[in-house]
Amino acid sequence: MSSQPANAKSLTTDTITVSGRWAFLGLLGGAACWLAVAGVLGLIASIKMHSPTLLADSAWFSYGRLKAAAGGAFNFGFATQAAIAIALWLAAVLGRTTVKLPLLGAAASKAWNLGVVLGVAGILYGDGTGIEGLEFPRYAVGVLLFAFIGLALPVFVTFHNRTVRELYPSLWFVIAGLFWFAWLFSATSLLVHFWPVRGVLQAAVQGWFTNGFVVVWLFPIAIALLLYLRPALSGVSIPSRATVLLAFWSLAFIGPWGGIATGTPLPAWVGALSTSMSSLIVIPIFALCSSVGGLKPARSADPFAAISWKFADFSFLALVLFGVLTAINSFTAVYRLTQFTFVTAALQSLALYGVVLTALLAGAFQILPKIAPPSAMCARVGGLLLWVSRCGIALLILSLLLAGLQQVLALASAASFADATTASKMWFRMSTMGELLIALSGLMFLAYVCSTTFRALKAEYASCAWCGAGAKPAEVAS
Amino acid sequence: MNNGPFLFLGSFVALLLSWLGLVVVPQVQLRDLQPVKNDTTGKYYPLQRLGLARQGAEVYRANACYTCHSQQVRQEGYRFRAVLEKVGTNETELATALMKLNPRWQQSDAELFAQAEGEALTDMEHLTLQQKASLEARFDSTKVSEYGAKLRFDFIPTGADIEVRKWGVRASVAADYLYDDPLMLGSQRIGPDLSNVGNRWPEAGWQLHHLYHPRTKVEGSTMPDYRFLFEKRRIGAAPSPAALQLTGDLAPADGWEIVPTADALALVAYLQSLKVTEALFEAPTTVAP
Repeated sequence: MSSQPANAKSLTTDTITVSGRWAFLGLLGGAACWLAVAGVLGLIASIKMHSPTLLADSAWFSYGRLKAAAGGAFNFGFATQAAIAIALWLAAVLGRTTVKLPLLGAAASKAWNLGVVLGVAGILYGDGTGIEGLEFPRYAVGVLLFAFIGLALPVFVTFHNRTVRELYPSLWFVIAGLFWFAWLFSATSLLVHFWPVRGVLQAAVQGWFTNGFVVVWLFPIAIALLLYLRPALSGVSIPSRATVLLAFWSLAFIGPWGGIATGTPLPAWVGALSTSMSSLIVIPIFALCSSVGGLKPARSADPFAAISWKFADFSFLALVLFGVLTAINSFTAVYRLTQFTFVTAALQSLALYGVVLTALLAGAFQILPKIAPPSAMCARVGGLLLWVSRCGIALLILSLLLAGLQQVLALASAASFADATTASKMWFRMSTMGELLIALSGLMFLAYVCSTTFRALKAEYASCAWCGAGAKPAEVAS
Repeated sequence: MNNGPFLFLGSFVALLLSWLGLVVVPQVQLRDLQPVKNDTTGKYYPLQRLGLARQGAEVYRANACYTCHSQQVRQEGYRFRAVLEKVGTNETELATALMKLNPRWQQSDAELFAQAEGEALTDMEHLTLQQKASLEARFDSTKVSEYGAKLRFDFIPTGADIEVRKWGVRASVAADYLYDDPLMLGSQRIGPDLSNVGNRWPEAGWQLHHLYHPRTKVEGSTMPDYRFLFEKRRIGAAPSPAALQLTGDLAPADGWEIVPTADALALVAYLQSLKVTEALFEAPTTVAP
């Protein structure tokens, strides 16, 4: 701390956040739009599960295309952009420096959004690659790879210019996560789009990417945020850095090995090794639990602190549940029954919505209120969003899990396959309610980001040198 | 941990190991995979899809049909049966030779086997592929052919996908997908597995009606209708021979007909091309009688 420059001491979290407001608004604005789009597409797909004649005349809205487009919009449109916004914010706040290259970040977010538009539209048009989780066509991936350089650069430059040389544990996860994503995305894109591997080796590439995308890209950012938020909102420091160190290295060496199921038509050792390593994911999660699991929130008058804490709490709980269920599902006796059923979809939703979505929203509610002073209405919208999204996610995961278990029981009793799927129809209807609430959450989050952007623009406009004096936000010279 | 280069190097090594393990090593292991020649038929397996079936794979990809349908049959193990196809002439010697196979067998059991042509001498379950060679060698060691007898060995794949749901005759292996690009294995079974659908539902008419309105063929099906793959048009000089024969609410108004588009025909050709029955070294199979 002694090496900290004098001007760094004057930096508060608010001033740091304001210094990168255009990058944050660009990234979170794009993320909010895609969350709403993913929610609506997912909702239509979910309705088609029990109303199969809906939009039957439109190729653009066939079930497979809708699911793939919704997944692409969520993973690349929402999750990746929001994760980069959180990474940038954590790099600046924990490094006690202003956000570097914020305009590059804002511009790159536009290019990234263009890539996602091309990707989602390409899938709906019928140009999807056919590889699950990597459906974006080549022309979209080219734009995304290019835009990613512009997104990652501000994070690394901000990190490099930090004034606190000691690395807070969240920064381990942020820097490693960004590096891992860059490798995962570029290597996989090359092997899918430019020098495609043949036959079943595509399954190896696909499994490595889809697992890595969640476990070593989105989870590290979610964990980084939890490691920062929980102690910060509790008013204490991290109880044990040693266990966080164990969590980091165990996640690094165990996490990327999952994703290839036993029985996949690759050499048998690949699936066996991958499934065994998946079961060990509980190690980093339990290490994390023992470090920041028992913290309680400090009393605060800030309604957004309470909202963030509750989102983070939900995310933490979902992470623990994900670890336990993944470990149970790794046993051959269990996996043989649950493979290909909705249990797999439930686990995927638990990871993406339960852990990632809620963690990223927890981070967004720490950033956005600092950019433009929120009104009382904003806090109410935030509170409502908290409840709607948590109910939607819980309902979706529960219904998919129950649908999966019903499928398992029906198939174990040698019922016909069609009967087993038909038996789950009630749970499909319940999952539609969950999807509806998640879509509503997306729309509410979009409204919140739009309102913040409007207020930030108003403040900027009011302080414009050409238009007269005004209350300029607490900006600092970078 | 405040050492940036150490953090970077450790992260690099961590992902590198998984990259090598899950992507590079399987690539090295499978890069020389080639089609195999069936010695009986003289044909190679697998063959590249051509023409309409190849176009159909593109329709399957474009509509992301793999979201609901897997193309991988799972197998739990093998059942081994040694069947006495021919008893031969020297029944006493045959019985003595067979006695060596199982010390628990009595002379009377062996004599019964010797008299029962076409009977299975043994029926063992829950076996692995590695046990195949040793089991066959054990039965071959009896040298029953010297007495004019003949043994047949059945190595039958087992598992619910094969025995209960009849989705295939053996597990799917890497060689089955040699020419698949993109590979559309699927990860969920909202609908049934399609790896062998070309043998299970070979009729184009059935497939077309199923695509237009799945519930005409499978009661209670949750599969969405794929009506955009069909064209509703006025009947010209004569009704099209390809028009769907629809009844009830689905029937078009008088003077109109529903005909499959080129995409629908291609998709059906692709589905008909999905056939996996070939026995391979790594996936032997004898279809259970």
